Amino acid sequence: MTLLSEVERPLALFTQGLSNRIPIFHSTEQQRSIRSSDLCELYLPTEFDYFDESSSNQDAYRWLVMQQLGFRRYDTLSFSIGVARSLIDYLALQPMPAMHRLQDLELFYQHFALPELASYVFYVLEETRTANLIVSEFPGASRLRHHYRNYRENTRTVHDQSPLGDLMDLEFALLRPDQVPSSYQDLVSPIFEKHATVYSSAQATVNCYQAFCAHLLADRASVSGDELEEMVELPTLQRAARLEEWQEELHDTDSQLLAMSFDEDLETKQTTADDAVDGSIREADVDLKQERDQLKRRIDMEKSHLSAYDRQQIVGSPQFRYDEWDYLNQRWRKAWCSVYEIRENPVQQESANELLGCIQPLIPAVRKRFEQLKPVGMRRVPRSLDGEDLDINAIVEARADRHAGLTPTEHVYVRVEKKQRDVAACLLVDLSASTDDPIVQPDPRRMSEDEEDPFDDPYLHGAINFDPDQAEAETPRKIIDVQKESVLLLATALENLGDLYSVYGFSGYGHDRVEVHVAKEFNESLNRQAINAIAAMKPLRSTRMGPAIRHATHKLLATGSALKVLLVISDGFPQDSDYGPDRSDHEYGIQDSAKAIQEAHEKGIQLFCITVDVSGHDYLRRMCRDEQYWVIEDTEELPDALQFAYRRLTS
Amino acid sequence: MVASGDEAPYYLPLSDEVDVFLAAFAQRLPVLLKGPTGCGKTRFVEHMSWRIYGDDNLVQDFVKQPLTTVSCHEDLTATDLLGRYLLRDESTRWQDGPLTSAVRHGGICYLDEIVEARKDTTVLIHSLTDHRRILPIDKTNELLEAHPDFLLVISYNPGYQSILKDLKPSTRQRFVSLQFDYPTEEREREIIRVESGIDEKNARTLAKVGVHIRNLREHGFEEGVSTRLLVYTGSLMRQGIAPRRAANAALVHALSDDAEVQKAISDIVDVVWP
Repeated sequence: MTLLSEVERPLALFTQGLSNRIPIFHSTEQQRSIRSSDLCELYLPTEFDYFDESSSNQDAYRWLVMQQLGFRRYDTLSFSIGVARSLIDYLALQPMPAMHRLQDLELFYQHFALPELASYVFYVLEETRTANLIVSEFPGASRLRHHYRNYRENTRTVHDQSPLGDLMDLEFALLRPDQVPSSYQDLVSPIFEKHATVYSSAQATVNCYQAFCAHLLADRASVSGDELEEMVELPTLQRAARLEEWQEELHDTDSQLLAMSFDEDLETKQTTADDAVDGSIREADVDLKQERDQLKRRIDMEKSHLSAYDRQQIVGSPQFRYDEWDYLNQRWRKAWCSVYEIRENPVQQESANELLGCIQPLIPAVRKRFEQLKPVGMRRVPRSLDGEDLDINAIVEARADRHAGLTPTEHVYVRVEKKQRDVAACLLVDLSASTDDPIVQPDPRRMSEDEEDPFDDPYLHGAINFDPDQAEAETPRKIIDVQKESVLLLATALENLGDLYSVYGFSGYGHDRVEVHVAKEFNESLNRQAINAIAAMKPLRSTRMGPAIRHATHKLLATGSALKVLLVISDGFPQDSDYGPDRSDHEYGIQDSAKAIQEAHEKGIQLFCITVDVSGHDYLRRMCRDEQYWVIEDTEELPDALQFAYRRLTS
Repeated sequence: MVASGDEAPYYLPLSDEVDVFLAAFAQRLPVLLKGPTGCGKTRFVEHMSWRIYGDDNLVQDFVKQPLTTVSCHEDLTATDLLGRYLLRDESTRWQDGPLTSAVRHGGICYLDEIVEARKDTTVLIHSLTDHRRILPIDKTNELLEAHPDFLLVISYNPGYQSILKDLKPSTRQRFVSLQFDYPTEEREREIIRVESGIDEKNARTLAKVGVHIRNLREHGFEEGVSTRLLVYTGSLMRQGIAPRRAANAALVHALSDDAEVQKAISDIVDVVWP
């Protein structure tokens, strides 16, 4: 058996090589429809175990990849319904489907009474057309096609005896174009023409659909709707478009409810209650409210589902893949995590100015604290093999050795080197949603029992003398605020010190989307853009710490610096969707993060974790050694802690 | 390294770089070549030095050593370029470094991958790159004026290897800059055909392999496959090695040590080749 997870990385690289696009793989069972997306999203089975040889299973995977790339490469996805209608008489005679927000291919299917059937036939024909083009452009792919064809033919088990068998016959006949039965030859001939296009497939779809429908009508009784549905996958209505429609519907419902509520008020004021009328209005009101609530829930679910597909932000961002440690099965999940490096380029400067204002008074003291770490001057390295000056002492010794019959040393130069710190540091900031939490203030002074005023209980009296303006003015500081201040303060000190450093924030959205937000790279100075980017850091989603640490390690290694330091600033345990059997299980994330820390250590990275989570001891001591972490009980101490940790690691 | 010979080193121009270089030489303006590894920068300099120093109309004197190439590395210092006192018998003797030698006697001094060298080397060349064209040598108390036929050419590769190595603007802005990149598929096919001697069809397939492998930048080989490696593959094929085996030796294992990247490259070669 060959698992997708095992071959995902080489398959992703193969895909990137052929298409110059970074793929996003989705595990799925059989995929028999054409999906359009701005991203290179490919749908592959979770496992392939048809062939005994793993290499043959991998060939089948590669063929599936090439086929789906073929839909983009050979213009399937550029299908225009306008062009199709101008070329194909059958379509021109049909009214244009009045359905908004559908893609052109979906509109094409809607020209048929059985859109699902049309979709399936088109898929089969277009698959054949593009496969021929693939093999023509990539001759070596014919071997992959051969393997896949064997697999398809030998796993054909359904519908042979049903009227739908005709359709299946077509699909399998097309696998070997030289064996297409004569009854189909004329129907499908457009796709075998020399310059066949996607519209040739559309024309062939019309031909086959009409022929098949004629046959179907003749024997309709024997075909069940379920059978048809089972065989052809329903075309996917664009869920995002559907969501928009639901949201519009929700808006309309809200408006209706508002209007009804207004009518009700008016009626109550103007007339005495008429039970029947009033009752019916209320009943309708309740139904509508229920309907509205259901719709709202559906929208929330759909939004949640679609959030995984909300990838606009990561389009074009560099993607990296890292393994993840699955402690449950004690194995590595190869290339399991996709890390996207997102460049923060905010233009708004207000928050940056505010942030600078916060740390400004503290900068001189911090700089002074770091000043002592700064080396000064040049150093002369005597007895060098090469250098600016001759080393007289070495020369005298060399001459003496020579006179004594010994081999003289060649190290007779003095090399002048500038004293400098060769340090690269990465500040990795947790941007999980929980960093939006207000800082828990130390317990207020407890009043003595004598001082207690039982009548001044806000729960009893409500918000007496509540001043909303004042409350707003006293918006509590959040964890993210202190994180940003600490990082920027340390950055100013490092800038002065001359150490290389980078500032990244990280957040997880599941294994296939871990975002690393780059506020500042190693080779950049702390300019306005970097400060803006630090100021723009905001709470995002979850704490998938393992891949973030692996990515930071990768970046640190690329600096080539002698001393490499990674400071992880977090506010809680590693946690993300699919980061363990369920979200409440923290062990998986802890084990994977521990592995990532261990890997970093083995690669020569000095790592230190600082957390503002008071329960941090519970999990950090299992992730790293005692001297590698620090739990801050008072979040406001974070800046000092960060500076202390940095100095300790690099001095 | 010295370029010599009766036949011009083969170079297929990508654009107007030959004309620009000739114009720069006419005005003795230093030239900066930017581009990825193996795209033809060094070959271009060899070609131009053969062309310029073999034409009496372009140079004032006979130059014995038309091209001096220094492959810069992280331990290369200003002293290595300028020269140093060597011990001989019971005395010391000054030995010109490659840069001093070219400045003194004329010819192109080509500092390949200049950003690899230590920072003091870039400061050293500043006085050679403006109107002064001088090279101060503290050790010999000389202020050497450049030979009329001296030209400084440097190359570097933005983003190559370490993100930390880059040419300072103060240095970069002293040069006429020529940007190189890998040739188009068509031109690369021609280069492979001429350089390796394989037939048109195989050259075309190799050029196509190059295009697809270059899509894999950022996976351990930041710049994709060089034209040079494609020529090597063609050369192995010319010697009778089967195409996939030649690609395996000259491309797959040369480009990466990562087994999965190697597998991906091998798969790409596999589907592109008939």
